[in-house]
Amino acid sequence: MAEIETTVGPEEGIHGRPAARFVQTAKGFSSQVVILKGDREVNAKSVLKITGLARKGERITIRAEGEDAEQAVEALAELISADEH
Amino acid sequence: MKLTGIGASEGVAVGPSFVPDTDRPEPERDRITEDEVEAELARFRKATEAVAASLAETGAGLRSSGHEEEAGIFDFHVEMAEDPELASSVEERVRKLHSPEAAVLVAGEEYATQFAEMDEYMAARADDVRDVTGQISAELMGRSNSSFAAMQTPSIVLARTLAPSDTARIKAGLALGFVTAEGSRTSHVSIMARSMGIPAVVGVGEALEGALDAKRVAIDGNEGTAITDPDEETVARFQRMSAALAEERAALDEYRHVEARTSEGRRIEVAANLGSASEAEDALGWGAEGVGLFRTEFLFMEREELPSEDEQYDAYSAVARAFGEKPVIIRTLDVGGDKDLPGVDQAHEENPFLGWRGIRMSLDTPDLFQPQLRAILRAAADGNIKVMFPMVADVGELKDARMMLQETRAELEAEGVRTGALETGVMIETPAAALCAAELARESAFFSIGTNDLVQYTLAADRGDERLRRLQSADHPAVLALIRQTCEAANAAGIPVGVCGEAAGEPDMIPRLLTLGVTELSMSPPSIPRAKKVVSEL
Repeated sequence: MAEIETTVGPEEGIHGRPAARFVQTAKGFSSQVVILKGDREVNAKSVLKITGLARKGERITIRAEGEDAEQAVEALAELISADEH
Repeated sequence: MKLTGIGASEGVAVGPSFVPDTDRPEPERDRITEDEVEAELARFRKATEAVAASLAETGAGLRSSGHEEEAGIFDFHVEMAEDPELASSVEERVRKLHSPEAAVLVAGEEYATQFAEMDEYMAARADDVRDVTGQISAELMGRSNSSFAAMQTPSIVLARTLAPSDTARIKAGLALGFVTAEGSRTSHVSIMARSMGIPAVVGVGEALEGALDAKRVAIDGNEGTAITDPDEETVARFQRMSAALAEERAALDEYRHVEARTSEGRRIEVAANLGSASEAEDALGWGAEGVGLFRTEFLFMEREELPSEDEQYDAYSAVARAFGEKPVIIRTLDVGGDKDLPGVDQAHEENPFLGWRGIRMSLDTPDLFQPQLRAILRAAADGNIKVMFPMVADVGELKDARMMLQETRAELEAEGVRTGALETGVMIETPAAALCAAELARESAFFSIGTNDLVQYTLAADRGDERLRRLQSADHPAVLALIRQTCEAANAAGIPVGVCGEAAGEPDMIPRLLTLGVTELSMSPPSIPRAKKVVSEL
């Protein structure tokens, strides 16, 4: 299992195009990936679940379980903390 | 009947009306039988694949024609159509013997309701979910989800709201304009209308109901109005306006990306006034050669806490990177006592425009000013940034501000943080600054004349008072004299002098400003092509 805590970067938070980009990236990994925010845990490969989950500047945790878990959390954390999409 | 809403995309048009049937599909059957379950699940998967493929195709078409922003909407829709959680929620229902066409609508509605309860922006995402799940349901029933197929002649589209899948299905050239009951300037329909180059009036409200029977509609996207069943005279007027606008637009388009030069060969830089980093791409499209005024107030307003240094850095860096080598002038915070600032005790002022604002407030509140200077210095490493101080009344304020800037730079360097070169300039907007221009020029790398405030302060005439319109133009001998004095001081010191008030974009004022010695003009982006044309014809 791998886990990274990060801050949401995009101006509009997680939805729309940044959300689509995030989910596309998550789907590229075979690991199961979830996002944790507060006491919520959602499937990181579901755009409907991650939409509206967090706003710019909020802390989230990305957790993955599987063969490519390390790579998955790193790639996704970098994507979601960047300010541009 | 006249409908009034928001002019979300400019232009005028007149034509027959078209009212699409955008009602949600009604499922044909609610229930299925036990032995149909597996076959229905397979049908559902096929339907989502078909819808996702069609959405992806539309997105790719938009992307290849350069409409990246609209294409992004379709990326989002493709992901929703293929969503694993949506699929498992539908599967669960189908196993309980609900038909997939009904189940997908119910599952979609659950997400839509959640989104609608969040905030205004997320409420728009609710329409996105309904749009996509509606398409899957229609696909399952073998129906076309679009009544736009029935649209044969170029028409004005009247609808409660238009989803991206609706506007994308309209054949090229068939839509002359959009009128919608809901929506704002940032709705999909508004973005699409602007990218299609057709007028749109959105948010006309319930009045639309009464207009749906109209045979013909005249729409004015500049004014934000639509007239149903206009008389012949109105039709003729709209046709003339439409032709004139098309001609003017075509003529101005040639000027978007030219370097403006007068017949004498004087090169005049034409830049954009921006209120946020998100406007950068649009401004570049209009032909902006830089940013003459980047307002930073938007970062501070309507929020509960002050923005962090990092948040400010992100915004300044984004605009600097978008403009690359082109100059971006960032104006430090200028909020008057008429607007609230979180965490700052501003106290009530009798005359906020003559009060504690601009550089006056910044110098008194280092907790506010230093993070902004730090963010600007850091962003300066990412592009060609300059900084400008507002409301300066004497050279002492400028010296104090520059001192604080130097100290802040030293602090960053001591921390090992990357900073960039930064020219400092003064916004000339108080008569005092114009009168002290020679002295200020020795301490500045550039001047930028803010004509809006300079007019208000010179003529002692409130900008917002309708009755004082006569005293609200830069075309007044007293204002022109101050501009001349400012230009003379700048030219003597060998520094550039720009104008970033409304006057900079007014075709009548541009020749006068250039005669007085102004070397740069900065304005709202859509005014740029016209200003370049005016300069080129001098």
